[in-house]
Amino acid sequence: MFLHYTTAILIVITGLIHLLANNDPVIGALIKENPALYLGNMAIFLAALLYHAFNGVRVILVEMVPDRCWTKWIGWAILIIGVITYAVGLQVLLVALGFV
Amino acid sequence: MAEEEFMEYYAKNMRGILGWFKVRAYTIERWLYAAHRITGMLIVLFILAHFYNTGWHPGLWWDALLGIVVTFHTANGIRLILVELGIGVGKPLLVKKPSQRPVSIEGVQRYIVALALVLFIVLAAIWSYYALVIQPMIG
Repeated sequence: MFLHYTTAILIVITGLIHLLANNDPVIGALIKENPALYLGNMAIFLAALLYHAFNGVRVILVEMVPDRCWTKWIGWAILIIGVITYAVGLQVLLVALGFV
Repeated sequence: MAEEEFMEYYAKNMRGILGWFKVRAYTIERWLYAAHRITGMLIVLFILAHFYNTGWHPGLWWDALLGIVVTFHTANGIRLILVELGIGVGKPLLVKKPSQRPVSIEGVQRYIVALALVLFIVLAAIWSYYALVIQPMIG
């Protein structure tokens, strides 16, 4: 659960930057002046958010069926889905910010 | 049901998701646990929709509702991190039954719960004000 809590703190920080960048005209313009910095924040935010969300879903699913085999399968399935989602999300970001 | 069987029944989590809502006779901590799970799943649903279309937002009142969900999960999550770090947690005592008042809610923990709820109300009010008043003005 250490990573779950660590990512939670990261989400609060990077999520706040994401909210300000997209909703506050003044601060948003300042953040988006540097696309690399914005991309860096989004890359961290996306990674932390996906880990936190998918690990939360994994914990709920494991609690539903406390079985060793099920736990193992759910762990791998969630990991693979998470990595694929991150790759797709990062690609969308790179295209949207004009890096690709 | 004998006490051993009772404990085994709960250890196996036979109630599943319905067990989250078995909050009768439990403390506020138990309510917060159930609410944390529910808000977490609602946020995952929003994230999936937001990923599919990054410009999508539920809009006005739904945005305010999203704020309530997110700010509750954040405030209660901060409280959980403090508990995980052992801040305000009292001496461990044997809890024999799930309905027994847990020691974790005693002492400093009670103030941390109150602070988390105050933080939630303040953050939710700011988010709602922004979603309902500021955002429609700036478009």
